[in-house]
Amino acid sequence: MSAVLNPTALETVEGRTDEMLINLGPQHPATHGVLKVVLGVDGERVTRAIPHIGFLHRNHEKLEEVRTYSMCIPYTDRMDYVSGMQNELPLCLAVEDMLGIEVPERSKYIRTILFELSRIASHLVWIGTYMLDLGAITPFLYAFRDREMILDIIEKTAGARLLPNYFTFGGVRRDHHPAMLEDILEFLKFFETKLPEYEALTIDAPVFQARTVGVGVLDPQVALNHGVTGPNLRGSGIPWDLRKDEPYDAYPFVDFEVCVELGCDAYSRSRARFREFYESIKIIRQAIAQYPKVGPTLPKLPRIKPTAGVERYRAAEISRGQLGVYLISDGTEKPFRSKHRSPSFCTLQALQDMFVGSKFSDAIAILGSIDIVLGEVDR
Amino acid sequence: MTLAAQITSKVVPLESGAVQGFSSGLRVRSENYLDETTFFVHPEDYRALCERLYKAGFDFPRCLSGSDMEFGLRVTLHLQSLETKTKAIIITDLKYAAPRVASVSDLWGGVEWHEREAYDLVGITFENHPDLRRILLEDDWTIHPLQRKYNTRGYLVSTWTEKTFPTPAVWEEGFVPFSAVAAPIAHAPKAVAPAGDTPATSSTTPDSSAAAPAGEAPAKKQPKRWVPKDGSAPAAETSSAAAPESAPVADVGALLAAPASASITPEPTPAPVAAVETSSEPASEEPKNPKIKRWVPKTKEGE
Repeated sequence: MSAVLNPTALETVEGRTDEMLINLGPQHPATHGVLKVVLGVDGERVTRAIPHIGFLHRNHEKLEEVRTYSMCIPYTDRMDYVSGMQNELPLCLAVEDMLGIEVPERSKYIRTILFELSRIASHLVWIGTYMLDLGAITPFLYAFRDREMILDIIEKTAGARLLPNYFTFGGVRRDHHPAMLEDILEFLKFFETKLPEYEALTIDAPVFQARTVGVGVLDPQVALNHGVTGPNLRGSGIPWDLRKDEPYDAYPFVDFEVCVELGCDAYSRSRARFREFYESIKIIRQAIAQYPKVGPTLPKLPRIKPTAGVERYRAAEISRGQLGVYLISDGTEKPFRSKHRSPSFCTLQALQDMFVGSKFSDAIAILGSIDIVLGEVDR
Repeated sequence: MTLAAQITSKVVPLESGAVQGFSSGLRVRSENYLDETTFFVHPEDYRALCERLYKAGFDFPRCLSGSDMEFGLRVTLHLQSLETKTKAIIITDLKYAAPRVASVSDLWGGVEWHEREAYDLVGITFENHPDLRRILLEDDWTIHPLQRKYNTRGYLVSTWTEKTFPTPAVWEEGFVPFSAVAAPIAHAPKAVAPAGDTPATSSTTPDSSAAAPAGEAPAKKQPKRWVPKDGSAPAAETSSAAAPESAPVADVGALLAAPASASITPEPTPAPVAAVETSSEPASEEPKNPKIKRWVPKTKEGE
């Protein structure tokens, strides 16, 4: 970073002419929110990229200090608003660990099904907006049409489309809609017929590959060292998936594949992410087949009041990587400290390594391929 | 506690032999909780312990958090090894008077922004950090809002009082975590506590020892974490974490030999102390911009 901040270090770059600074964002539509990246450009080459974040900062962590644990759950929805339901899980897992709550079997499956359904919705937003960044409008319309069906299913069950506030400590807040499983199966049947079409339209398209293959190379060691997780890490060839390595909820009971691509470039990240559509469908189908029809959704809960001094860090594999929550309890109903480790925040640290040396016109292609949500970066 | 039974992860905490290997010669106290191993370390030895863990293959920075514990500021670093999936937590407590600790962002690039965030929101200065600026707030903020003396509106809470620093065992003069008899590392300094004082019956199954190690009386006296509310916490006795006599030295070798540059040779001198007090120039606490008049929090009744 220091060589980047110091412009004189660039004097040694061969063939250097003159550096120009360009502000990408914060109001640029391709930054998916309010991200500002100061790009140093030498001709067509990017010489440095300094992200500036915090435009959407709300300091949830301070607000959660004066709210009870249950009141913290809606705040986590608002971090990654594209897949709101997934954000609630790490907090629930951490509190369940601190209190020793056993989640009923049925709630585990409901959580897993909705978790994967949210992943499909989130990846649909990604593929739609990424294609929009690359200049194609049609996939966006298809993606949002299908996402709407998922949101309808979530709305029927949880009562809200984007910020459901549905998972809770020990399970789910209320039983699901009686027709939820049929709706999901119907959606999957529809979605499966469309998926090969989307694949041909997006990641198999020659224009898409021309824009992404070999662009934004992220070395596996650099990615791991910078805390990059999720499909971005798996697109660099490291098979790390918390659903497999530290399974929670019903993930130990379902069989799926960790999608790894070895290319380390924007295309590999896209392909790893797109393959997760198929894996998510596989997981949901298995979970619905194993779903226990009867049983409680919530156990008898103790007071949500962990012992003083207990602390716990738990992470879950959401669409963008590992979302972690670190809680310290002081014996009251309110968390003494709660810190959210958001995957997009960590991924942005590796932006420098992906940007520098690439063409300026590829910058948007790289930024779209890592799939960030700024609500989660700024928290 | 039956908590450990519910953890479905395949991760197990470090074995006591490996823990000894990491903490020899440093002011470290360690304990296993569920699937994780926690190291409480003196801030001067924080950097040295991190270097050892990095060399031993803890290559993924999960999280770094700063928090205000009301007696001081705390840095918590969560690490994980990609190969063995072992988890480690490093905790170091800083006094309000000197909230400085060495940066580890050159070991793990992923903690760089987390350290900036801890500086921004909590007010911990990380020495030798390449770019210690505010990250989430504007540059001309003067307070660190996640400190407990401010309420959610940024006003000072009038009822807030600083707790006494609990002076954990790792801060005491001459603290060594393991008794000299049990420690297989020859370079460990002599223990202050008489060895063999407590019946060292620590169990080799680490997860069951999370809540209650097999030893009865001494283990119960030691709290699980330092309680932030009452100032009279730990005084954790030095030899309570004593390892069994037949400490599995081979485990240290096996764990350390696995990754690439694995040899942790404990230095003959007790640890390279990352000079905390005598650092060249700590980054200025509050960046001042004389041009901009900015809202300054007034001292007012907290809500």
